[in-house]
Amino acid sequence: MSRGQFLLAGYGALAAFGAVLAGSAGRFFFPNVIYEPSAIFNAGPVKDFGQGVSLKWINKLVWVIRTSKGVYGLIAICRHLGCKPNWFQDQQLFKCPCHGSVYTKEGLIIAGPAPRNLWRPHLEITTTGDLIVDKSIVQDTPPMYYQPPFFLPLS
Amino acid sequence: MPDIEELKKEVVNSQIWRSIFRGGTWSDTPRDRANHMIGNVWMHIQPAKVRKRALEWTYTWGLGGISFFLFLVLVLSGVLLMFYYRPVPGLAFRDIKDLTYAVTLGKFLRNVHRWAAQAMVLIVILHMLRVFLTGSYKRPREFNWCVGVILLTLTLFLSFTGYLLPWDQLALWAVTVGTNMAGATPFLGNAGPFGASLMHMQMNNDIRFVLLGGTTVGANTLVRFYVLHCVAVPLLLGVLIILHFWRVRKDGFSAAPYGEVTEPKLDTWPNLIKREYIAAAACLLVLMVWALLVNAPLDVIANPHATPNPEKAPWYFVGLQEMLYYFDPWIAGVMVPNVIIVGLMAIPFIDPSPKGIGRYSFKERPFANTMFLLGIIMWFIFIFMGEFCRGPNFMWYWPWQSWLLQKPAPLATWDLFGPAGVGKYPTILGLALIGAAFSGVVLLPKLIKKNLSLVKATLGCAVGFSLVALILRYGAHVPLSHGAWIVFFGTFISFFGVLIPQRHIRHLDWARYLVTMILVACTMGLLVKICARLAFNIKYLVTIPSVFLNI
Amino acid sequence: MYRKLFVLFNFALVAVLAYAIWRSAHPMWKVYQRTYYNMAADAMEKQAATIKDPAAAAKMREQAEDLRNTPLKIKQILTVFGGVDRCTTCHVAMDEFVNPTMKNDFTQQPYAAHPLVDGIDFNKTHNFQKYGCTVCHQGQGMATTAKDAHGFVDNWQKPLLKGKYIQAACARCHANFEHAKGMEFVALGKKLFYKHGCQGCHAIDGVGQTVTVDLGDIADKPLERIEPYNFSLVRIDGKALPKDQWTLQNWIFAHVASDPESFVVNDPLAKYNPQPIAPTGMVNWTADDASGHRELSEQDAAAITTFLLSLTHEQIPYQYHVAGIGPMPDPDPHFADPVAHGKYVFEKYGCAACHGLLGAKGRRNFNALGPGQVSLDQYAKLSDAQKIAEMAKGREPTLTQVVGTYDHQELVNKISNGVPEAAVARYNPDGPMPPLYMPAWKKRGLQGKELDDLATWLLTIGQSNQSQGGF
Repeated sequence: MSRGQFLLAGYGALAAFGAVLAGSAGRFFFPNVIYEPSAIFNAGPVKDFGQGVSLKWINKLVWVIRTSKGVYGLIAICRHLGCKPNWFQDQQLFKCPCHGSVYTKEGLIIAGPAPRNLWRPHLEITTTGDLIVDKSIVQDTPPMYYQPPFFLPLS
Repeated sequence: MPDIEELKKEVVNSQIWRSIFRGGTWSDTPRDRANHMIGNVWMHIQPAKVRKRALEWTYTWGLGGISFFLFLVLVLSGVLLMFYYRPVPGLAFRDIKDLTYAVTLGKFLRNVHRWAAQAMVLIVILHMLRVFLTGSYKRPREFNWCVGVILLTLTLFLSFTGYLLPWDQLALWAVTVGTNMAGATPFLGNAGPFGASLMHMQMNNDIRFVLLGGTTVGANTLVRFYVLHCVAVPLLLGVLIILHFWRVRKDGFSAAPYGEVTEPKLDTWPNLIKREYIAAAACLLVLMVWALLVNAPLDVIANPHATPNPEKAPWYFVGLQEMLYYFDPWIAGVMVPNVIIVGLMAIPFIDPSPKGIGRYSFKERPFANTMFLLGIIMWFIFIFMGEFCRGPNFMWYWPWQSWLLQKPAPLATWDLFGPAGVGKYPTILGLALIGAAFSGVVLLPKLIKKNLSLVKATLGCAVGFSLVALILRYGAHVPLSHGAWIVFFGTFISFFGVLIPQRHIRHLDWARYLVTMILVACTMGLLVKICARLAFNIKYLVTIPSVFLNI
Repeated sequence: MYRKLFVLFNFALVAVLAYAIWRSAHPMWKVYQRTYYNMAADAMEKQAATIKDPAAAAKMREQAEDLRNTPLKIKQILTVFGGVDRCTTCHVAMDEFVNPTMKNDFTQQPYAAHPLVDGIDFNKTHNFQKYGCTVCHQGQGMATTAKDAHGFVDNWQKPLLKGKYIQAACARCHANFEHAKGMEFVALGKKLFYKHGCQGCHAIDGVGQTVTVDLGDIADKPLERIEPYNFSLVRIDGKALPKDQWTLQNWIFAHVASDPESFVVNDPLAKYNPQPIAPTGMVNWTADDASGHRELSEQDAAAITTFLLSLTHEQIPYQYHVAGIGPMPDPDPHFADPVAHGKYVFEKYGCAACHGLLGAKGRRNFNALGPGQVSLDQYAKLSDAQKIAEMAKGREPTLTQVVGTYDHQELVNKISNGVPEAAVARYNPDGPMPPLYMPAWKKRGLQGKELDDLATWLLTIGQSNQSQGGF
């Protein structure tokens, strides 16, 4: 091994040290535990939701929507940049105050800059008739958008 | 009454004074004055002598010095504020209330800090404008210009991180929006192109998650932003400021020299120092009066379940917010800022012309000045639109209109090119057409070899686009008002994107030419998209939903 | 030149900084506090002059002198709820360490002591040093200027509750406030709320119907949601509201006391939006109708507002919830008489919301097919205002007039199955969806004996009220 190669190996080792150090420093910034409320909650008996958009669970950032055909949820986070859209009962539209995205009652984006539809959370009805909403499993594109467990048909 | 001059002499010549400030007895000779600068650690960031032009107010406007002075004011007031502030949700808001109501001079201090931060953003931008217009970024100052661009970015980042600390509604939602833009980063964000599909980015492992320390803005975010705002970024900024100053001094100080001509020089002490003092004092005075007259805003406490309507970013980001209305977040929130930063840094390397260094001259640098001013003016037009013309639900309200006025719901948008069922035409066609149009704008100026008459060519373009509008009107029933948008934007883009470059930079070597034209074409591309949105309600020119790529 | 500027600027800097310090050192609360100490000391000296015993008089004068020289400071109460109330900084008479009797003769604020309300000494029942002030009065406890502390400012959600409205705060902790002394106003509000069938459209925490917004946390409604309303059109006592009164309290009051249509933007003719927007189905409760009848007085509206202001989801520690005095109302009282039971059921489910008190007057159901509307061909020729007036003639059925056309079983079926929202006949087919509809009550727990007795009662009102010609 020549002198130059030896030195090169040394530089290589230094570079490797730097890279590993940078990588581990980067990893350091990913918290392993976070203190956030559970993504899954019990929204109460499904029969208690009347037809229309229920704001009852808005503090969990979920709208529960009951139609004549069934029930589905929408997560109240704009798919553009995360503001909370408002429900306009009279126009039957969700409108976001930050950049003007407009969604239909089904959660479909019809105007404004948001690139995707609103998330629909995973729903489940327990044997006791309670509606379990799981925000960690979501769907935003048809056809799954309109199928269980993101839309539960009710008689 | 004792003679002040005598007293001063006695103090300055005393052993204590001389032990602190190096050098022998003071006798106001040129050598002493030079020594005053060189022999003092704080003063020697400035040379002993400066060119006479550097002292003219109308040359530098003192903007760099004022920026630094504002930084010092911010550090001092910020450190004081830290004594009363705890970065915990709930407590943070209460501590700001305490500063307002129960701390001696607390309100004044917070006002000074807030307004100094806003002023610093403005002054740093103006400083950059001044440096550009006087050609002071050219060799050998290329690197220092880049450092300056980073300093500007860090100034904005400091403002942004500080925005969260009061933990009010303004703070929470501005930061929600800002960090979600990071989530739209290509490859690294969960909502960015190729992020989820290629890199398996989720809410809990992407770049946004690192920034927030969680999946939503919460306690972790607050402490992260606190550390960034109070320690990490100011340290970095301080280090870079030292580098910036060192290069300013080594590269011949401000007022870049005219080539080989030697200019008369004056002593820095007292000529420059007295001007700097006056600038700083005037700045501080304005700041204090401002802080006495106008209180820093403090909204109601942060509420993650209700977004204010409309929610606006701080003014210097409102331009971006306005652009976010027209573009997918990965373009408006990630690409545009990054292209601006990289483009600014590229300027000294793509502008090899030795003309117009050290003076304001439009004649010597018509292309550079036109394009740079165009960019700055566009930026401020966007700020104006976002700040004064947007109302509830981010709808368009003229400044004189009441926000209670009912506005029609926005029309449904559509996509031009995309997969079946989404776009009107196929994706491949769109990509090909956009590529062709882009390379057309990039290449055309160099391919036209003739000297064109600017007036005639512009008129020609206008007539051409009017014809297009008329054809669309009678062929495809596009209303004339939409045709007017096409004529306006088409002529504008032909003028600034093709005719001006054709006139001025077609002789540039290919490498520099291409980089320049790509930047120009990107700027024009922004206008094309805005035109498409305003005139035809087109949401995306091309969309590939499977990889979250929307243009 | 620079020498002159140097001197000038330095003087200016000193002057501005001195002014800033002076301003910071001279807040208004210092004036109030000093004035109070002086007033209290004066009163004490006056009292001392009446005392015969010179030693006692001297001692009292000494005390007065001490009071006069009390150092000024920001006083604060750290409340058991974790809040900070600095109200006693100005309202010194409420500080029991300065004014142990908690009484004085001053009438002017901020010097007056806390009054006895209905003879109750509030400091005894709700010790101020423990509970603070804002738990009842609302306002911004941390603030030290009068305007900010009273909370009628842009960035404060809960400004002072004034007058009888303060009873809203009582009802937040005192369950069963209907029987407690001093809470009559909020109790009246609750009674009226249920009597007029408000719960027939607005549930409270899920109890009631879901035609529109649940009012369970209406008192927490964030400012962001109030700002878009056109307060400039709201009139209270015939007067426009100054901007600092654009508060939640007045927002609720305006909804109850006047037709919400007058300040909520609607778009029945689809001028602005592709889909027309119906006005709310709510009634102008405090206006006279054609027969000179008025359902609510402004006082009633204020009582209902007070009740609604008590509905909050703010967490109050359980040990501060008071069960209250007197018997709890029976959630399911027993009736021997099916007719009386039916009437009770009618009120329980809020049927009055749509059908009027005792079913005697159907409410407006905008753009529903109602009696007395001109034909749609003629409608096209009307002016915009006339069109809207025509569409407003839509009504929910007035039960006293229609129940006669049903037999018992038909009524039971109708109530059980309801009329789906989409099936409500529209007067103008291009107009907005009528806001009210008959829900399928079997899905909402109305069944069995309740349903049976309700139908029984309904069949009795048809005859009895028709003879009186409605109201």
